[in-house]
Amino acid sequence: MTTPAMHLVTEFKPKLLQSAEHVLCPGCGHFVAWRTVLDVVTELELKPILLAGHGCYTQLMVQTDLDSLQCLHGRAPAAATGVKRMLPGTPVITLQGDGDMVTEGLHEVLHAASRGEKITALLLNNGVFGDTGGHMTATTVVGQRTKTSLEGRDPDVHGHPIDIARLLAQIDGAAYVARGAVNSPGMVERTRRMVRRALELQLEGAGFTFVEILTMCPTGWFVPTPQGPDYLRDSLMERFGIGEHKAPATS
Amino acid sequence: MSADIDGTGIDGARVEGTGVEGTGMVLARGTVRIDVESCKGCYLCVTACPPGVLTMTTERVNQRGYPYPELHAGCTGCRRCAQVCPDFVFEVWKYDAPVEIEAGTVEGSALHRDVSPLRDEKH
Amino acid sequence: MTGRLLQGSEAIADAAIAAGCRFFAGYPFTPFTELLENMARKLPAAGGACVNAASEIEAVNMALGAAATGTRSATGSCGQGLALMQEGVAELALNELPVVLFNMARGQQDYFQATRGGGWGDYRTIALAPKDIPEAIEHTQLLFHLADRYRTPVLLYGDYVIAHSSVGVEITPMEFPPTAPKDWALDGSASGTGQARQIWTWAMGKPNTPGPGASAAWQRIADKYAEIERTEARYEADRTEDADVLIVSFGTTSVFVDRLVDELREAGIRAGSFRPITLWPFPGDALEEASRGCARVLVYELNAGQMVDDVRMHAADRTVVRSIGGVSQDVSGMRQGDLLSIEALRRRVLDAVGLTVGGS
Repeated sequence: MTTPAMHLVTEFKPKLLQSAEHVLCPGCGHFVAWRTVLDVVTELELKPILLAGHGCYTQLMVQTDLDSLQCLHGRAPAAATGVKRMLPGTPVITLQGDGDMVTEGLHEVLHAASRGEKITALLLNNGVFGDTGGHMTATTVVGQRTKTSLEGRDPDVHGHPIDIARLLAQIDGAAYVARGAVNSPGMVERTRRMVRRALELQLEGAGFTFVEILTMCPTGWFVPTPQGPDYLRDSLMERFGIGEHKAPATS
Repeated sequence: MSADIDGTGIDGARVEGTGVEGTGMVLARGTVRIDVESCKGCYLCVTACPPGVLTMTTERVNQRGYPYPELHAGCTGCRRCAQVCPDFVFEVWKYDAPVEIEAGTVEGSALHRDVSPLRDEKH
Repeated sequence: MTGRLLQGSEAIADAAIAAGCRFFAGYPFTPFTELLENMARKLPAAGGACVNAASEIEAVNMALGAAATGTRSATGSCGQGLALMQEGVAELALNELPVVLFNMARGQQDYFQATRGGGWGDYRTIALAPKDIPEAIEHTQLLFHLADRYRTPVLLYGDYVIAHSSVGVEITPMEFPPTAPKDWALDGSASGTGQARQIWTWAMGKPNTPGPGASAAWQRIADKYAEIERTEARYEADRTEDADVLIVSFGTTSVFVDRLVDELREAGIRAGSFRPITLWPFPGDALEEASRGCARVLVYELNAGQMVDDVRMHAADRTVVRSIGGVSQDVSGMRQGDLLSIEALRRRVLDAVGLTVGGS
């Protein structure tokens, strides 16, 4: 039987990934988000510089065919400031987790936004310090179990999470602030559009652009892998919501 | 759709009119090639597939020890599996015109290859 | 040649810009603040950028980012702010990124910080301690050269006196041998080519361009510092060949020591002075030679005794080494205090050699 005529829709891996082999956990949302980001970078034909923090997602930087600077925990927005001020015509992307950006680096990201640094800051938020084994961060939601909140985050003992996207949206220097997720194809598609909008606005010089992407970490959440997407929906998505929190009026 | 992982198989892929349950000829608009050895058995593709044409193996595992997805007739080439897969397992194709294929597992969709050693043998 | 009357901070800013510095970040902190003010005022006109960072941690990381693009980049503070930057300094060293650090110190209390560092890992920091503003102008330019030549963070140990005094001075641009092109710098041009560049302390590279890994990279960097230690030590020695009493000091304190050595020689005492110009690498061999035959080696530093450790390590006879300085800050705590005076120095030296002072 002859093979019917067909055309390629999606390659195994994006061209900007030098290798698709990685050691992140089954069901991890990080590479799902990253595929989307790289597709947009390719679509827009960008040659950016990537600055990555410390976490499981550092592997994303290692595997990716972009000029990269690995930064100290929390400090990528500060380093990105130095890069972008010296290379204003080069797109600059920072990639951090919630431990890196919202816990250690809250100061740096708020000030980079305040100064209106023309970078695109990406946050992979799974509500946990995954790389160190599953500990509480500033975005861990109430009730979420981690190794430092074993009975679930309790406001009396552990306080409340920080809604970083809404916090950034209040800062005048921030031009675009959005939150997406990757726990379903529909969400992935919405997130792709947010990332695209953020990068386009950087190219226009609009100011600080930010996309938070809620990702699955079944290992850090102590849930069976296939339940990751539902857990994300019921925890982080329930608490923080999805959508654009700040965007310029479209002309 | 939820995934049942009690070891007896996947229940979540029971969607009406799919190729998984039926017999005879099924309309297919697309197909995928599955890099079996890259899979880490996370099941996200099964949940994401709208026509429900992906099932995970229950008695076979890849060289790393993970079960992996198999394609059944009825793929629409929507590429949602590729969108949600964390491990770049899928290559998605669309037929220029829909074709009728036999119900059941689509032969030739699985791509088997030798994986590199997990540990550098010089250590 | 008549110079301009320049405050030290302004002179250093001009020297940095003359040396090609085009990025500066800093956080206000006495007595460093005027250096930041001058950079904010002058760098944009020179085609550069000065950012008032929101913390010292931000400042050193901004300078790191700018340096990663191949730009000559600097930051600074006083010792208290440098303390916050230590992780960043280690990161610079182990990433092999050139940045000039300015410690406009609140005195001499930061010798340990300048020479031992407070970061992590096997690294050293070339530290130059000028004695006055003209030297600071030279050292600033030399430091930008050394940073690029060795791909390392380097430090100027200044202080309140240098930062806030004004002298008539000219900024004469210095010539240096060319340094290697920065083919490691990031500008996005290699993105998407399959050969994208990466700056990462763990040095593992990317799949297409694997790196040596942390162990091999850090050993190579340690070897580099061992080489610098052999070749970059600088010092000034005065009348040490026949000295009985050797006075060792660094920075602005040594201006007073120079004056006292003249006095003592006139009084018939065979005094000599030794001044490390590089605090690291410490000019140990030269000190050993200068201290040979000395009955006393007196270390005059305005702290509880920091450089004296290095002096003891290298002096020809460590048993004759004495600390004659001490902690000394003025009432504000931000600059050297009463011990920075010829009277105090004279008293302590004569005391140490067992002589009394007539009519002083």
